[in-house]
Amino acid sequence: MGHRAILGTATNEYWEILSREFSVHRPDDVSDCIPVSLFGDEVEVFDGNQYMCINWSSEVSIHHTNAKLSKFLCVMIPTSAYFFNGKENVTLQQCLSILVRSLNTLYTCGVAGVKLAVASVKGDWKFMCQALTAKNGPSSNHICFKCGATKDLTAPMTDLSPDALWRASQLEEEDIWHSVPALKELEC
Amino acid sequence: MCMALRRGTVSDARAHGKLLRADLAFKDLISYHHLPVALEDGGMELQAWPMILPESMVGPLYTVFSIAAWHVDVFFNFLLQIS
Repeated sequence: MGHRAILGTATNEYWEILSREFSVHRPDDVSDCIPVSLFGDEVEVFDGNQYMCINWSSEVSIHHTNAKLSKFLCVMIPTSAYFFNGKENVTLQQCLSILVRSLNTLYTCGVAGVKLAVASVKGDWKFMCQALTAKNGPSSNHICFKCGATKDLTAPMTDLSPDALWRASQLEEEDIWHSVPALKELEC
Repeated sequence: MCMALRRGTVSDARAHGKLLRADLAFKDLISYHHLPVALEDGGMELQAWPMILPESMVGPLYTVFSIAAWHVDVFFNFLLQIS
């Protein structure tokens, strides 16, 4: 059977679009590479506690509607165990740092002849803010981690016109995060 | 995640047997890493935490087609180990 029966196959066209539009590149020396996503969210399991669950899945999985055949659990952390240093979720950052090292190994060296490239990081807004240690989030007036879109009329996020103010307000790196997140070390 | 909590089925048992024969039981895939964990008094300590790194999963995925039972095992054993 092999991994393709589980993880699927990414075509050359897929990689060309991913590289051109999203700057995610296939390792040059291998054609057998699977694009994957990293996903995080908090869920209540059965004991009344919230757990942060992080999993990875193939972006080209042929079983994407079957959780057990497509979502591979990496770690579960009860949110009560989170340790914060200011706005930074240190527990989550350390956890992501370990996962990033593993994913980078899969990108550069591979395992069993297969390489993986992280094509996306997914999750709800809360996870994305904590994973990126983002300054902007759902509870602030500035809501975007890439631009200066706001909830109020300063640069309204609801303005979708071609000359909307937020389109010309790309954030500088120091405006994006409280501290450099572990995910910045992802190779792609 | 909820799907992983459903009761096992015959096909799960068959898949599990396949995993065991291939020496791919979940316990071999879990590694422990130190994470800073909050204490009730507001402090912090480093605790060895169970994780399944993606690099540990890809090799077995190359060998095994059905991983349904495996996922159930992994999920419940995570809960047992961190509870």
